[in-house]
Amino acid sequence: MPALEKVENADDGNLLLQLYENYNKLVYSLAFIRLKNHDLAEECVQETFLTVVKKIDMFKGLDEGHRKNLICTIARGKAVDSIRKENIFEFVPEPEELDISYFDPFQSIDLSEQIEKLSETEQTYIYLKFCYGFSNVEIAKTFKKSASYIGRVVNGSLLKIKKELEEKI
Amino acid sequence: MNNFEKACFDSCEKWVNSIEETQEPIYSSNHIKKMNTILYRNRGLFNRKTFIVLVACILLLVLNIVAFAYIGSQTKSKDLIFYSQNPIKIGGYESGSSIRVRVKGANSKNDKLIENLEYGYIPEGYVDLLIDEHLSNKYAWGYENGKYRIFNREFERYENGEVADRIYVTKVVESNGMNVQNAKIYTDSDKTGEELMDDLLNNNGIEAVSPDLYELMERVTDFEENGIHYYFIAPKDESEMGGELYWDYDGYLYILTGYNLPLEELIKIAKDVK
Repeated sequence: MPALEKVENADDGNLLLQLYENYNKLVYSLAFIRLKNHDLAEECVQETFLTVVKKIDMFKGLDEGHRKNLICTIARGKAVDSIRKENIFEFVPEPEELDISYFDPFQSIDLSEQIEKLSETEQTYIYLKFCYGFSNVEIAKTFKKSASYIGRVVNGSLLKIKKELEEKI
Repeated sequence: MNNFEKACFDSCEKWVNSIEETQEPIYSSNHIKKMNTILYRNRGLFNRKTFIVLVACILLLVLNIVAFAYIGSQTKSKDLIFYSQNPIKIGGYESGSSIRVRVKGANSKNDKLIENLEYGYIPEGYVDLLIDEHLSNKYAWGYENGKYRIFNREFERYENGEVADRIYVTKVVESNGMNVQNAKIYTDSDKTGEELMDDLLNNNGIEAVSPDLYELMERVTDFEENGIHYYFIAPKDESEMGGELYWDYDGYLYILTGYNLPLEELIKIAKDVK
């Protein structure tokens, strides 16, 4: 287990406990379905809640629904990471930069449909970045990747969505 | 929120709502320990760091008292009352019967007998040493200088005429530089448990070997029952019964130590201590 973070006060500690009580089973289930391994699923639960400790301030500002979404997103990223631990040198080409304002003219339902076609990793990074305001560096730290790798995956995902939408038109 | 961000939220929520929980996970003891460390590291009335420092202080305090009791038992046959105006110095605590203790500024003028603790439940077969005339040196005792008091009472169980195991309960009212309030001050710093312990020892003029705080922390779990928050320190060897139960009630910190007793029995005793 990595070096332990800590929450700063009793309120944060109580929130952490509440989050664990509410969502540990969900996180375990999510991890177990992907990893098919009890020990790895437990490790995923630990890793997820270590990240929750680090981001506890962010959780304070979210409603319950978004807390749940964020925990699940982090957990899925951890589970996917666990599967891909052996493949740490995966190459991702540098895509062109794309601003998300490009998507403004499109219906959000169409955009959602395209987002759901992305891989689990791509969805995880996209959710953290565009739903919860994580920077590339923060995502990189959470999943022990480089920030440039995260940037390439995020941009690549946006380009995939763009291409799909253009083909539909 | 722009279109793309809204689409992300919608998609994320849809996915999360589609997750189905598997059957109730049965977590391993290793996982539970790790999660306890993550979750309870800094929480509650005594946060984890405070609690560990407090426990470490109490261990030192008990060490002092054991040393006093040893000396006291050589000279007194009645209630043992100790008084110390200045912090106690422990020169060393060695194995066997060799205990060296130095007390600065001892003064018996303000000695005061500490009232006893009352118990409602004592496990079958245990003998209250306070009323056992054959063990007259095992009285409830403590010392007080307006800041520093400890209540202690022991029970022993006999098997074939020999002492088999022991329960003792300690009630900490106040302690000089080691009380809950003082310990809390230290929790605001960024120091590690070991650094806190060093500070606490140096600031109070006590020289002693610090307990292994991190090892100790691994063995601590906490729970609530009837609105009282309990901390339980499991024995080092997981296969053993016993351990130490701490709880805070009505402004006092209680410590219950029982050997060869399961946690359920410790809780039964704890519930009836007054």
